[in-house]
This record gives sequence, C-alpha cells and structure tokens, in this order.
Amino acid sequence: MSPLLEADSLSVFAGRKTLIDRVSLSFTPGQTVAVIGPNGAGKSTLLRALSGEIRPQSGQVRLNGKTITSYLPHVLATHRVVLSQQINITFPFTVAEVVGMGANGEATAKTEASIDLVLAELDLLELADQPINTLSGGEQQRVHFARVLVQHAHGQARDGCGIMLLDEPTANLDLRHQLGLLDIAKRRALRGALVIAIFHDLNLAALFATHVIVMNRGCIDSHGPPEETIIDKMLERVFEIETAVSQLPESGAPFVLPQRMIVAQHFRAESDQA
Amino acid sequence: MTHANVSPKFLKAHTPGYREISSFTVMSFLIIMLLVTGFVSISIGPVTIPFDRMATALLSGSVHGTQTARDQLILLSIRLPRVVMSSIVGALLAAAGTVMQGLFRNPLADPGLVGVSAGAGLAAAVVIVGGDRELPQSVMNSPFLLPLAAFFGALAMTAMLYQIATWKGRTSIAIMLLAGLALGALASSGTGLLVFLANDQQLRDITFWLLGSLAGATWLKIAAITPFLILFLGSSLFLGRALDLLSLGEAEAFYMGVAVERLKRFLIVLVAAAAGAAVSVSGIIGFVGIIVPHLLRLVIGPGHRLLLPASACCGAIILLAADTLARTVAAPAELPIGIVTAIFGAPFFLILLLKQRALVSG
Repeated sequence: MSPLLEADSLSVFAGRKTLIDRVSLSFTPGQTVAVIGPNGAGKSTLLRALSGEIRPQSGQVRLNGKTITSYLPHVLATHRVVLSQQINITFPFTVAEVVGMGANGEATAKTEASIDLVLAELDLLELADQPINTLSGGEQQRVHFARVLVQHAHGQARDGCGIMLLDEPTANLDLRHQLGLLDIAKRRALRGALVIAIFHDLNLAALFATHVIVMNRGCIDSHGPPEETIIDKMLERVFEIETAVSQLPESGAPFVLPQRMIVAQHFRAESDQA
Repeated sequence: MTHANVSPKFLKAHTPGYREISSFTVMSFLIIMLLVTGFVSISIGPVTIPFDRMATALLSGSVHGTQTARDQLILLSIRLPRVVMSSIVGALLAAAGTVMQGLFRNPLADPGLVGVSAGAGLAAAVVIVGGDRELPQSVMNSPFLLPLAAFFGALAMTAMLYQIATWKGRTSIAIMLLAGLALGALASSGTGLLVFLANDQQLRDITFWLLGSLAGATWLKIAAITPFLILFLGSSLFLGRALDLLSLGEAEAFYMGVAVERLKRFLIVLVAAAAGAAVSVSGIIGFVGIIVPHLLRLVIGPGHRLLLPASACCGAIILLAADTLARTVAAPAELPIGIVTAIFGAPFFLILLLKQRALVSG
C-alpha cells in the first residue's frame, strides 16, 4: 500500500536550535500511531510539520505523494484534522457553535444530525448551549475533539479516509473520558483513518497504538509495535527512569510502572558522600 | 461517552438550538429602530418639524416662499445629510471595532482606543498642513483626498499594531493595548506639532479632527465615504465564517481551512478603510466601536455572520442618537460628539475591563 503521509528527511530549526533532525517516517491508512518522548523531544513540532502548518527548513512532508505545503488550506482541511494542546476562545461561543465550526459552514439537516451524534458520542449534549469559556479544561478539550470529529466526518465524505493528528488528546481528561476518546479515535482508524497522537502516558499509548514512535532530542529513537518499543532499555535510555515493564494478561500490551529516576553518576557520588 | 443509544426525539430536544432569536428578526428590528431614530432626529432641532410637515416637504416638488419651502431647505441641506452621515459614520466605526476585535481575538480592541483613529487624524493633518504647500489646488479640492489620507494613516497604524502585538502566532492583549497607547500618543504628538506649524484656517480644520464633529455634513462627504460602507457590507457576507474560525486562534483557523495570512491582511485593510473613512469626515469619535459589538454579543451571540451586519446597523443607531443628543441638549450650542460618546463609553469600557480582568492580565 502506498503511504498516505510521509516525512522525508524532515528538519526544523528555531534559530540555532534544532527541533527536528532529519526525521523520515511513513504512514498508511488505518494505522493508530502514538508519538512518545520526554519534554522538548520535538513531538509537537513533528505533528505541526506533518499538519502542513510549519514549513520545514529541509526535507518535506508528502500527502498522497504531493508536498503538503503545496495544498491550499481549504483543501488540506478536508484531508487532515488537528487537535491542538491548548485553545483559548475569548468570545462566548456555545459548545454547539464551536462544534458546528467543524462543518465547513454548511447548516443542513444532515450536518446538524452529525453534530448531534458527535455531541452524544462525547457526553456533551447537556452542555450544548453553554458558552465554552464557562467549562472546565477537560470539558473544553472534549468540545474541541468533537469539533475535530465533525471536520473529519465532513472531509471524509469528500476525500475518503483522512488523517487525524492529536496533540496530547487525553491530557486534561478523567480516566473514563481518556478511554472513551481513545475508543472513538480507534473506531475512526478501523474505518480507514490514519490517527497520529502524542502521549505522555505510556500505558495509554500502548493501549491505543498499533505503532509507536519514540522521539528523543529531535530524532527518532526507535519505532515499531508497542511491545517492541516500550521496553526497559528504551525507558532507561530516553526517559532516564528505572521501570519494570510487564504485560497485560489479556492483550499482552506492555504495562509501565515507573520506579525511580536515574540520577547521573557524579550526582549520586556526591549525595552518597553527604 | 459510551456509544449511547440516543432516540431522535431526545436529540431534537437538545438540538443545538443555537440562539433563540433568528437573524431575520434581529436585522428587521435593528433596521426599523434605525428608521425610527432617523425620523425622530430629522424632526427635532432649533425648528421642530413634525412628521406631517416632514411628509409634505419631502413629497412635494419645489415650492417657493412658503413654510414648506423653508422646511425643505432645513431638511434636505442640513438635517438629512447630517442624519445620513451620522448613520454611516456610526456604522463604519462599529464595523471597524467588530472586525478589529475579531482580528485581535479580544473584545477590548477599538480603533479609537488603540490609536488607529489617531493615525488617521495625523495623516489628515499632514495633508491639511503640508498639502497647502506641496499639492496643487485641484488635488486639495478633491473630496476624496482626506478620506484617502486618513485611510493610509489608519492602515499604517493597524499594520504596525498587529506586527507589534503578535508574536509567534499569538496576539497579546496587554501588548496590543499598551502599544496602541504608545502609537496613539505618538500620532497625537505629531498632530500637535502640526497644530504648532499651522496657519489659522489650517488650525480650524485640524481642531475639527481632534474634537470630532458631525456638524459639517454634506452630500459630497457622504458620497466620499459610502463606498467604504459598501465595501464593508459586501465583504461581511463572506467574512463571517473565517472570523469565527479565527477566534479559535491562527493555527486552528489554518487547520480548518482558512488562508490565515491573506485573511489577516484583508482584515487590516478593512479596519483601516472603515476607521479611516469615518475619521476623514467626522474626526475622532471614540468608544462606538467597543460598545456596539459588546452589547450585541450579549444578545445575539458572538457569531460573526450576524454580528457584522448587526453591528453596522446598531452603530448607526447609537451614533445617530448620540449626535441628536449632542446638538439638542445644550441648544443653541452643540456639545462635541466625541465628548458625548466618551461620557457614555468610558465607564462602559471600565466595566468591560473589570469583567475581563483575568483575560487582560493573562
């Protein structure tokens, strides 16, 4: 199968700092991909480059074989959707209005029905008429995910499977909604969408992904299925923690319980003396 | 978040009812209010012309030496131009405020407050003082010269402000207000310098800008600024959705299909055109652009598709009412209109600021 989305020797700099260093990746429809790595590893930058928002200084991102920066914004919007980490709205739009923004300005009965379905899917029906800025962080996150789902449904109607890029989609959510969100995203992948999401919680990443990308200092440290990537050695090398990775009894998915951080050798010597 | 089995009836009950009032109702109400305010404003003044005499005067042809002829003169060459111009200026100011608030993504932006009007005033003053020396008389007599100068002044100001306040795709409210203060002060001091250099006639012209007035209304001035109103109303038809998406942030707007850079450039030109045109005929009138969109958002919600035309209409009503007050409350003297809008607008702005305190300090 030819790749839906690929990154070809992608590099992004901010001033003299290298955010992403010659990253090459390729993705096919139906994949669920988790991007993990410590703070500042370049995960968000990678996602923004894959979305076509930032222009890489070298290398390129190709969508269906065509450079992503050559797409017009409104065409791109039907191919891929993006959920950002933090969004502030100063105007008091209601939940329904924000979610409706995903519908490309079409206000047909069909769109309204699709908006209602997404609101129901995300437990947002009761909040539909509330101004979004009165909601909690987690509720707002769900509203924006709903908006992204509506946009995805619209693009899908026009351009087929499509791509979902999610930057820490579970960050502010309670456990139930974390699992619910992953469930929804997985269902979209089963219907053929490519879903790429950034995670800090490695257990969620392992539950969600068919494919894990481990990033460290702007480079790809390793990638592959969760049970091959989320392993003790990687956690020591990339996250600098001691852990005991075990396996879930049913699925065999890796399960991480962090034990303690790895302290650099000379620090340990000093603290031993004291 | 389970895949709930939701009956269609339940969905209907919660159908994002959106806002209770329909766009048609809102616009009809505003237009009727505008007409009523307009007729009341035409009727009152030093000579009160009741509605029956107004009808006679406006509907009959040219007559001489009668009361009707006198009424015709007052109506057609004094009151009607003033009422029409007040409405257009009010519409432009409110429109500029709404677009600017959409561009900066916060409800505290206003062309008068952040120096855009001051920039337009400075450009006009430069033309008044410098033009006498440098430009041929035929150019100086053109009714479009000052609106154009004011437009470019406002354009330069808005573009600079946006450049300063936006950093890495985020627009800081605090920096916008402070930079607007500084740029406005700079423009005002430039105007002050020109006052110093001006001769008596030029001084009178410049003072007119500084205080703001609708007393000099003529059909010619109306003709000069009407294209700007048409430009705004025309573009508001397709700007609504883009402005709604922009309120999520520049990155989100791009993800959802907006060509953000192009949109921003267009919005800057639009703000400058509306504010520049308003300033060029009436001087600096503050606060209309901040009060109107805010009041409307409380009633009809923040969706720009309705907000843009509604604020033009509501701005016309408010400035018309304020001007009627300004010319009648201390008759035969006239209060400067800028003072009237500031008396009502400044406390309103303070209240708004208190409500948005968390936002501004953030």
